[in-house]
Amino acid sequence: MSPAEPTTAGLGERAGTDGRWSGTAFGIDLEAPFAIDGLLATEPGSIEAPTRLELVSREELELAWPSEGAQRRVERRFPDGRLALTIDRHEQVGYRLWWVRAGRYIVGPDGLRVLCSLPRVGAARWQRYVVAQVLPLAAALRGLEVIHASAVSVGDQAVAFVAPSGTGKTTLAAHLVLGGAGFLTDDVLALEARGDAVWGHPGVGVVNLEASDDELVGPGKVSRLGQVVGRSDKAHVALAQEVNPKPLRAVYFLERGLPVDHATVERVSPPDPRLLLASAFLPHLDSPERLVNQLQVCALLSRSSGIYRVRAPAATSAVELAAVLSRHIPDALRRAGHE
Amino acid sequence: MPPDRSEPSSILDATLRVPQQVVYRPFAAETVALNLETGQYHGLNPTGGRMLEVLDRAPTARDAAAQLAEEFGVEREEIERDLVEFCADLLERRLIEISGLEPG
Repeated sequence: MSPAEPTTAGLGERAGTDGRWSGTAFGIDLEAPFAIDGLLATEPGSIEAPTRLELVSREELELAWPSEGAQRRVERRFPDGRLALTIDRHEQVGYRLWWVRAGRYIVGPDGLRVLCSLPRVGAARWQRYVVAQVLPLAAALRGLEVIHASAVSVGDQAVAFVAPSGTGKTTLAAHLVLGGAGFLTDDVLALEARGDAVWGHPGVGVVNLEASDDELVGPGKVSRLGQVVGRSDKAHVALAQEVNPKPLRAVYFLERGLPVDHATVERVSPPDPRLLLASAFLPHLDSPERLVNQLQVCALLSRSSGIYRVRAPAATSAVELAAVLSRHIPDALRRAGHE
Repeated sequence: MPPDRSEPSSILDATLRVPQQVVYRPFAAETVALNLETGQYHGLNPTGGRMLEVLDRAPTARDAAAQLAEEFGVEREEIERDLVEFCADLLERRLIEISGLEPG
């Protein structure tokens, strides 16, 4: 096999007998020639207008990308100067994404078609990229607003935690799940303005946790949270996930490492639009359609959901933070229900 | 000939509209307007947000002032003064444009 050819190594075991898999994530239906770990599977043929993922070779993918007219929107490099990640945009063709050893992708301008040229490495790395970047982009192009947040459900309502990467929003969500909350999403929350509320959609049912976190992960294949489906620098744990979207009624902005004595929660009243607008995921997606949708969703969120700041010193553990929020969330949801 | 923006009666007799490239939405305690051409967001307090909304629908700024004077329960002359100043600011920020001038 040429390195340029698509590989199905590690793929397809859970695809249907016709080689197609269908599922849902970030508020969009999906159809693919391979299963994606952690996404909710749906009955083949039961969905309409899915986003279709297609396997192509690297040459086919590059042929589909015009040699002119594209703009580089994102470029990340390693410390030694080598390219690590690029995202290009072409008005008619859409977005081309590349991440070292995670494949190349073209997401059509309407988010309905995704060409995938996968690397020959194991599935864990490219699947992580697909669920972290490719599918959220497709969802945003299809009209969902995506923010950088984890989310859990409490009863019939959703609660989100917004924080920069690496500041513990996943671990916090995991501890809340241990305490009885439902799991909605790990790192990216897809939002939809519907009626008088903003609804949060389930994302990916696999969370990446510190492998050394014995309380959440432990050394075996089964943790208190769910099954450990893989290990890299992190442990990848599959959780039982909420199936349906939930109205988002509380959003907590986490600020850690502050010079305060203990963790505090305070309501942001009135909600600061800048706080909400700045939580956008995929800031490079700045088409007029996305910006208008983002404004619409954030405006509705400010009126339909409680917005809170959580300030905590660096020494606050995820367990302590989860305990503080477990006490606060019921009151926040009660208050949201009465306003 | 474009209206003289420094002349209050000129603005009051104008039809003012939010241009296509500007969208605005009411947040909990303010209105945020976004200029899609520049990507810039502009915050308006609740009074400013209501003024923009009424201006965008009224035949002229003077008509908008009459409606706002009734809504806010203040003298029309006072609202007209505030509205002229507000419109000059919005025009400067390109959040509204003059789409027509009532014949004087």
